[in-house]
Amino acid sequence: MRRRLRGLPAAVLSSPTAPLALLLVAAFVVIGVIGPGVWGDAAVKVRPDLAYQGPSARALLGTDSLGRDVLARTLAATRLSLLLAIAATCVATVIGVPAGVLAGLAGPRVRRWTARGVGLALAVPGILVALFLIAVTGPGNLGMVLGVGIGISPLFARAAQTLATSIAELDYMAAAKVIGVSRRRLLTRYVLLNTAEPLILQIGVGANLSLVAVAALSYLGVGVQAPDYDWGAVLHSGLEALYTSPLAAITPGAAITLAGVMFSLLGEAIARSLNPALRIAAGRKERTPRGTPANDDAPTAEKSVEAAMDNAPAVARIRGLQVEFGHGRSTVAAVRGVDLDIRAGEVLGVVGESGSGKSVTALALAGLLPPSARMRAATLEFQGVDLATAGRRARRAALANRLSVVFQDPMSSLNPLIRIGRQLTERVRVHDGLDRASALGRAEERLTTVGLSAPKRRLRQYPHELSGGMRQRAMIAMALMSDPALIIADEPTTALDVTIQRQILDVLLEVNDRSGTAVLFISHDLAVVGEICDRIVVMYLGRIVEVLDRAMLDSPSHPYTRALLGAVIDLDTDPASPLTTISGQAGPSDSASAGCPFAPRCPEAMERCRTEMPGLEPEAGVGHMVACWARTTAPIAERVG
Amino acid sequence: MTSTTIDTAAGTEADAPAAARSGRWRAFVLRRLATIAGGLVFLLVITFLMIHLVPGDPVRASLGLNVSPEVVAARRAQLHLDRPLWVQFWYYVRDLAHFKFGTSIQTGEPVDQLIRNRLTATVQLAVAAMALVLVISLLLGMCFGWLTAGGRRRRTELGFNLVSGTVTAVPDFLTGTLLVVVFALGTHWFPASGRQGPQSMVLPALALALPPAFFLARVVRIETVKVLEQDYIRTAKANQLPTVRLFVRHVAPNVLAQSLTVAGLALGGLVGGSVVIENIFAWPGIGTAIVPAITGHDYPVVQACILVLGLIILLVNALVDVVLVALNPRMTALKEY
Ligand code: SF4
Repeated sequence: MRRRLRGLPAAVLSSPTAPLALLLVAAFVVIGVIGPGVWGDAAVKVRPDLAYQGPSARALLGTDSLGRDVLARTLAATRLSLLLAIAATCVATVIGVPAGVLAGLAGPRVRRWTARGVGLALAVPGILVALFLIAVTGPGNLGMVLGVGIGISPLFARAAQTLATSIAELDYMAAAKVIGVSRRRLLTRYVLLNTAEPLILQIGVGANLSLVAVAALSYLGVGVQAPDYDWGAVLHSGLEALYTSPLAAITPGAAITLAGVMFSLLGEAIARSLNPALRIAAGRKERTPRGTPANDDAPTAEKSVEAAMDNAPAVARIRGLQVEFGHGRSTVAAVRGVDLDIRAGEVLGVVGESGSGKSVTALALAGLLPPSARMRAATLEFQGVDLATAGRRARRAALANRLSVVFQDPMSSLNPLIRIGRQLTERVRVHDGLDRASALGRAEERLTTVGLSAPKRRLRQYPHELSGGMRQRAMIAMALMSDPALIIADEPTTALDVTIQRQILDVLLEVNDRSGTAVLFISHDLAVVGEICDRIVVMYLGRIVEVLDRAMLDSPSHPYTRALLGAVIDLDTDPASPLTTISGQAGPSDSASAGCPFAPRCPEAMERCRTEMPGLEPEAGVGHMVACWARTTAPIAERVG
Repeated sequence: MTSTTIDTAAGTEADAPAAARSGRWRAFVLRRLATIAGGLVFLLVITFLMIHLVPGDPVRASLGLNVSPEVVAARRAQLHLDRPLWVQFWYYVRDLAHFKFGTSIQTGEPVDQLIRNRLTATVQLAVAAMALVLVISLLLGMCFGWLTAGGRRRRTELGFNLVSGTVTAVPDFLTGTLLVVVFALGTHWFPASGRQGPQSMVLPALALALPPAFFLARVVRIETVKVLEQDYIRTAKANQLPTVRLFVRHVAPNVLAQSLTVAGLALGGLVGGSVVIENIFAWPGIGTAIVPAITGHDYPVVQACILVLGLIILLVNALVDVVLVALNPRMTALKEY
C-alpha cells in the first residue's frame, strides 16, 4: 500500500514516472560528484595524433579535434553543467517568485497589468536576455547565469502569482468554517499544496530550460570560457569534428537532453506527490463490476409492443436497442433493450432519472453516440430507413433533413466563433444545396417563427451576444430549418431560467401544432412532461418500465412512476443503485441480479421480483404498458432455476 | 401566426453587447497597443542603457580601444554626454528613427548596412520555421486528437505522447546536429551549412521548427480532444455535416483559438533558437552577427541586433493577438487581454 507510506520521498514514489526520475537523478549526482576526479585527466589530455577518431577501445565514443576523449570530457563536464543550470534556476526563483507573490497579493488592477507584462516577458526567450547581459558583463559564467536566470524568471513569476492570488482569496473564503477545517490546515493542506504544484512543475521545466540555454551559450562561445568546459563547450569542439566523427557532437548533446529530461521528470514527480487528489487517484483501483442479463425479454416485448400499437404511422421504430460505454474490462450498460415507437406528429415524453438511458436512447437514434459507445439494435428505423444496417452515406441522407436535435444547454450548443446566420444555414446549404441568400431568408423566417425579435440582426450576431432563452430559440429555429419529421428535445429547458422555460415549451408545442412535427421530449421532470406530452415513456436503469397516455398520468401503475409522481424520489440525486457495470462479457450472465432492477427501492417488492425480470406487458387502457410483477395480469411464469 | 411573446428582458440584455461592441473593441485595441508600446519602450531603454551599464567609459565602449583621443572627444560631443540622461535617450531614439545605428567597432561598417544584409536571412529562416511549426503541429495534433477522442486508442495516444515528448525534449542544437549527420553527411540530400538556394534552408528550418512543432502538437491534440467533446460539435454532427467540413469549419477555428496563446510563446522562443541554429548552420543572419560582436565588445552591433530580435518578437506577439481576435469575437470582452 503506497498510500500508507509517509513523507515526501514516499510520496514521490507514487508518481508513475518517479522511478525513472530518481534513477536519472542518482546517476547524474554520482557522475557529477566523481566526474572531474575520475575522468578529468583523460578529458584534457591533448593528443593531436589521435584527433578525429571514431570509437575505439581507448576512447569509447571517439575523440575531438584535439584528440581528447569525448566520453571522458562529457562525463567530467557533468558537474559544471548541472551546477550552472541549478545556479540559473536559483536566480530565476529568487527573482521570479517574490515578484510573482507581490503581484499576486496586489489589487486587481496591478495584478492585471503585471500579468500582461509577465505575459510579454514570457515571450522573450531566455537566451536573448542572457546574450544581452553577457554583452554587458563580457563572456563568462556570471553574465550567463544571471542572464539565463532573469530570462526564465517570468515563468516562475506567473506560477507564483497564481499561487499568491489563491492564498489571498482565502480571506474571503468561508469554506474553512463550513467544513470545519482549521485555517492553518486549510492553508497548508488544500491551498498551498494544490497551488504549489504548478510552481514546482514550472521549476522543473525552468531547470530544463536553464540547462539547455547554458549549453547553447557555451556552445556559442560566450558562456563557459576555456580552460573550463561544460557540455556546451564539449559540443562546440565536437561540432568542429562533426564531419569525421559525429559522435563527438552527439554525445554531449545526448547528455544535455537526458539531464533536461531528468529535471522535468523530477519536477513532475515532486509536484504530483504534493497534489493529494492526483496521488489518491493513482492509487485507487477500478471497482469490480457485476453482470446482469442485458436483454432476455426482447421477444415478448416485441410482441406486446406491436399489439399495443394503434394505427398512427411511426416516424421512428426502435427494437431491442442496447448501448454500452467504456472499453474492455470496465463496461457500463446505459440502455438494456428498449423498444419504442415514435408516431408521426405526437409529442412523446421520456422521463427518468440521470442514468436511466433516456438521453442515450435518443442520441442513438440521432446517430450522435460518443465514440466510446457501442450500440446494438434489432431495428433502428427512422422514416423507413434502418439506421442500424444502412451505410454511412444512406444514414446521413436519411437523418440530414428530417431529424433535428435541440440540446440541453443553449449556452454551449452553439459554436462560439461562428455567427448565428452561418450556423443556422449551414445544414440546408450543405444538404439541400440552397444558396446563401435564400438560406438566410429561411433562417430569418424561422427565427420569427420561434419569436425572436429583430431576426435580421440576430443572423449577424455571435452566440455570446444572445441571452440563454434567445439562444435556445435560435437552436429550435436551427432545428426547424429543414422541416424535420422529428425533433428530439433533450431537456431543452433545464438550463434555463424558470420564466423562460415556459416560453420555450410553448414554442415547441406550437411547432408541433402547426407543422405536425413529432417531438421526442426528454426530461427528468414528470410534471413538465405531463403538461405537454401526448404519451409518456418512463425509463429506469436502461429499460422502459411504463408507457402511458397523458390522461392516465393521475393513476400510473408502476411503483416507480408512482414514486416519481409523488415526488417520493428526488430526481436530482442519483439513483440508489448506480448503473451496473458488466465485466468481461456483455451478454446475459449472472443470475444474482436477474430480478427487477427497481426491487431494491420498491415498496411493493416481493420474492419473485428479486429473481425474475418483469417484461413490458399491456395493461388495461389504450397503449398502457407496465413492467412490474405486482401489476401484470399474465399468468405467473416458470420459476428460474 | 401567433408567436409566443419575446422575452423582452433578454432582448434588451442582448442588445447591450451589440451596442457596446465597438466601444469594447476600441478599449481592447488600446490595451494591446499600450502593452506593445510598453514593450517597445522597454527595449529602447534597455539597449540604450547597455552602453552605460558596461563597466568603464561608455564612449570608449562604443568606439573601441584603439581610437585617438580626438575621435573620443568628438564622439563625446556628438553623444551629448554632458547632457542629462533623458536628453541622451531622446537623441538615441531620434537616431534610431532615422536608421542610424552607429558604426561597427570591428569593421567600421555602418551598422544599419549590416542589419539590412542580415535581417532578410533571419526573417526568411524564422518565417519558414514558424510556418513549419504551425503546419506540423496543427496537422499532427488535430489528426491524433481525432483518432484519440473520447479516450479511444489508448496505445496510439501513448505512442504519440512518447514520440512528441522525445522530439520536444531534444534541444534544437542537437536536432540540428542530428539532421546534419543524417541528411547532409549521410545522404547528401541537403547542404550542411551556408545560404545558397532554397535547399540550404531545409535543415536549419527543420532544426528550428521540430521541437516547438511537436510541443505544440501535444497542445493541439489535447485541445482537439476537448473541442470534440463540446456541445456545439454535437450540434454540428446533429446537422449531419461531412467530417471534413466539420473539422475545417467547426473544430479547427476553436482549436486554433485555444492553442494560439501557447503558439505565440513557442514562436517567440523560436527567435531565440534561431541565434543558435544560425551559428550551427553558418546561416548569415542576425544570430551569426551578434555572437562575434559580443566577444569582440562591438556594442553598436550588439545593440542593433538585440533591438531587431526584440522587435521581431514583439511583432510575432502582435500578430498572434490579431489572429486571436479575428478568430474569437469574445476576445475583446476579456479584461486580461
Ligand atoms: S416488479 Fe416487483 S420490484 Fe419491480 S416494480 Fe414491480 S413490484 Fe416493484
